[in-house]
Amino acid sequence: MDAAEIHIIELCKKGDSSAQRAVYARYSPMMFSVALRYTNTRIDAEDVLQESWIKVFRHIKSFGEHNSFEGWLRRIVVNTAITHYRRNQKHQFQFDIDDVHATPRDIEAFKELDFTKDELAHAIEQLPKGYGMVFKMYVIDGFKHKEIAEELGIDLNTSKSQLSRARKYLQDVLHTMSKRAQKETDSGLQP
Amino acid sequence: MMKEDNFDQYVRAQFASEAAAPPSHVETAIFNELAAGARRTKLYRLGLGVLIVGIGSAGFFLNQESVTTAIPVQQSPVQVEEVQQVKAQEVEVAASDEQTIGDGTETAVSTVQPRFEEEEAKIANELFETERPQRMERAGAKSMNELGTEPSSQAPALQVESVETWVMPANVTVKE
Repeated sequence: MDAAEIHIIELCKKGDSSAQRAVYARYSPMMFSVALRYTNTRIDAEDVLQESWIKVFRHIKSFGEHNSFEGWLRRIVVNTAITHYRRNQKHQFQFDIDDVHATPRDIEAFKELDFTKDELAHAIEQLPKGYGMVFKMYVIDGFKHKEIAEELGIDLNTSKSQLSRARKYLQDVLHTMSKRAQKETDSGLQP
Repeated sequence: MMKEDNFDQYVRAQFASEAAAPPSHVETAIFNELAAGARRTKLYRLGLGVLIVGIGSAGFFLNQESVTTAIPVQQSPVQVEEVQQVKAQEVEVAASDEQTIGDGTETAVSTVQPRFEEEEAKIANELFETERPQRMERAGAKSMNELGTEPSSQAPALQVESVETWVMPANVTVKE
């Protein structure tokens, strides 16, 4: 963190309204994207964002200067999104393990990955909820297995196995997408 | 060959700079809620302060009242006895006066008071009699007029000499 950022955070700790607005303007796009990733609808994402910012400003005094502020904000959004998801869906993440019929596919089969962010996001959305949560938390947002287990209320080994299955499932989806795209390209070239 | 770590890094890199501008009404809602929360906190603190001051001042005034309240002093048994004796005498005297007067022109109280004063005077006289010296001698009790002297410049000195002097009796014991 640079000196300006530390200063503005200190002002936020004192309840300075203009500093709070400056922090909001700087970090809310990142936080909203995270909220969108963990929720089903845009309205849910807005609710999560609002709840997250209230938490941020109420607990900003507990933030230590030696940590990453962006990482702290990211974790708050993810935690809030998980709480929101649980509250609305009453969903148990463990149930997804048995429901999923993932096709095992070797990661080695992908010699090259050439997907856009939207294609990747679309593929991740197709993951079962439990897998998707663990995958997004571990791969995209940098959570540890221990933290994921605590947040989702699952066993540490369950988190690891869900991540492994999520990777295979995702690569299967991506492989299918790749094949479909190849077919479309071939059919487009034939005439 | 694509390993797990490489796959994770690839996906992470795709989402690293992800950003989406939230709608403006979210910002308004957030800061309205924060302002409302700040107001609630202020009101709570104010109420708490008023409560503490109220309790403190109430305790202070209650303490003050308890300090200033007169503490009844018990009369000694002797005093009570004396008062009771005097009252009993008064009642007796009043009763006797009422019997003697009969016609009701004087009240009992008016007759009791002089009697009581007479009693006090009598007691004081008795005390004086008992404390008075048994034997007293008068010496030099002649006035200047009786001596037939004329006024002169030495008059003040003579007047001083003619002042009556009282010699109090004393027991003198002479040691052998």
